[in-house]
Amino acid sequence: MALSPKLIIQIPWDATLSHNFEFTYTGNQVYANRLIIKNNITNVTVCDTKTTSFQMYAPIISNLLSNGITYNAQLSVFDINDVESPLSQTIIFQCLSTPIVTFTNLVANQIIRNSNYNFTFSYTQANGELLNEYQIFLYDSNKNQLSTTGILYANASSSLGGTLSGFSDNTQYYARITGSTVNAVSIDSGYVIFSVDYIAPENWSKLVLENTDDGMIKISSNVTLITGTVSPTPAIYVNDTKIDLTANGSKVYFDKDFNIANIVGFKILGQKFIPYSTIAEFSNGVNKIEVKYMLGTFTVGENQQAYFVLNAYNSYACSRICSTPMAVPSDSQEICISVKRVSNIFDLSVTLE
Amino acid sequence: MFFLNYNSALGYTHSADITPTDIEDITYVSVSNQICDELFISKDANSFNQSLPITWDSNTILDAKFEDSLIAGNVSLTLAQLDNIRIKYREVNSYDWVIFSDIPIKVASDLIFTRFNRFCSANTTYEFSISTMLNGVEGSIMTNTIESNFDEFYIMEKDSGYHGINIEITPTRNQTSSIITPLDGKYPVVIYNTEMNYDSLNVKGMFIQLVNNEFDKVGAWKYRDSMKDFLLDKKSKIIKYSDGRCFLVAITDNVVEDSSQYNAEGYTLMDFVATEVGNYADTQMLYDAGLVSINTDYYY
Repeated sequence: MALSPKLIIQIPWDATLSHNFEFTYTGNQVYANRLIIKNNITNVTVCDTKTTSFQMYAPIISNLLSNGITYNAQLSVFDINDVESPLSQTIIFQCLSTPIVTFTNLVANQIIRNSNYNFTFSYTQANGELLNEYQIFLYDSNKNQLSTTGILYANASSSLGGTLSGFSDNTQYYARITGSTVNAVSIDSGYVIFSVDYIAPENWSKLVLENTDDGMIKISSNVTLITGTVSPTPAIYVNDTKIDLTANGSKVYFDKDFNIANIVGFKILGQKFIPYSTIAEFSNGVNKIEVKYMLGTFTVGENQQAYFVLNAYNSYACSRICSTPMAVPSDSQEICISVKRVSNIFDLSVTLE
Repeated sequence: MFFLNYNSALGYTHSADITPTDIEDITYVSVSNQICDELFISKDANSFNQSLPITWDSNTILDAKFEDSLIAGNVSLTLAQLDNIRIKYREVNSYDWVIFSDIPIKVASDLIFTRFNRFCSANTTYEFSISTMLNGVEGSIMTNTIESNFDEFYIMEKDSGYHGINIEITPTRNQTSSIITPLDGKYPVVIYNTEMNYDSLNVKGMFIQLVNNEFDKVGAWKYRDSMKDFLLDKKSKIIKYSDGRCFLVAITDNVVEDSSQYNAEGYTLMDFVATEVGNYADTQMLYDAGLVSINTDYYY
């Protein structure tokens, strides 16, 4: 048996797992093989095992080697007469513990409330093996692949992750990360199931569609973008749900991106109104409607009462209406002022919330 | 009567009534001198019988909730948070979206738009979506579904199209192969050197415009003349039929008119050959064909 077998170069694997060293051999039928593994630094032999097998691989048991160590290996084979072949050429390999890849912003059964999601993940490897490339896959509920981020390369300057889009509402998906390290160790996060729920059904839509019967679909947008301005800045919010405009001269105004052709009505929900001041104003640059908060004593000897006044000015007249007087509210009492106009007549009502 | 510019109760029966006051085109609204929880403005008087918060509907003009922002529209965005609106569509129960149009947003009024999609098949329910984008990243998405239906036949480009009736489409599925005859064998060897697998269509029919749901017989010849230029403009087109068939094609032969029945109210048929050049539901192919408007900075 003058021929020597050839050991196939080994991708690093986790030494806590069993492993097979595959080889090729073109001589007589193989009846056994002998695998010799040495520490590549000290050249101390850690394995010299003869295995009786027709198979073209030499198995090694788990935990025989240690992760993070570089080894070299040679192999010989035996024929039916137990004649040993020359040793193969030496290959050098590493054992590395299994990399751990975990989504950092996705847990099983999480609900994603959007049609797209930027999946981020962490990568750790105990022996300092660096991540080279990865892909994030999207699967349907039957684990059929739907889309992928494509191959992304890891680098130190950017976080690990990628965006997948096109999720359907009320649908279940799986996400999975696969990839490889710089030494070709495979990584796999496994399948992580999640659900998508991003649009609550509503009768009125921001996206209006119409089949025009002449072969076209008419697409109209009802998206409205209005942003107010606060003066002075910055805005002072109360519990992130209200805005404090009680400072002298403080107000929020809206003066662009909308037009009220003919005002029908408005509602204001507020509290801590400043007496005798204007709490709301609507103007077309010439004429205006204003709402004031007032205090007054309507019966001799009784306490003061609160009421709201609406003045609607135009070029020739002022319409003034008042709300029914009520007990002066505390600063924490919310009041809803509702104004509606029917046939140019304003109606003002006030309710305690 | 008016006194000091106020309606006063000094005379007439109805002088104490509230003065009708008409103030139009309000463009400025402010709130002040309070801790304000919400400001809601509507065109619907009935909505004022409801308690706040009131769901935004087609009558809502402005709704400021002051939840840590001054946003008063129906999306939780400011103009600084989006620079593009993307329209996509797909058949219901399919996964892949077709990007139909990217609309750059510079001012808030850009968000009020109308577009026409001419590429939807008949007898098919589609899901359309508009999604906000900033720097190429899609944000919130709004979707709606519609069933696409139409009669007879249309041939469409991005901004124009023509209507046909009594159409006969004869599709031929094409492939290419070579037959090699070996010297020493009884049977030839067939070699398929390409992956070609496409339809060519022979289309014949009457092309006439629908005006107010009636066929415009008088202007039919002008319509056909215009259509000839359309067919020969060397641009890719979508052919779609009322049974649901749809093709992305290029016109690859001459356009022929058959006026043998012309004495019957000018009845003239047109005949042309179209060759399938791509998948009508593939964004990249539609883009390459010049049929969709995509911001290439945002399309990979």
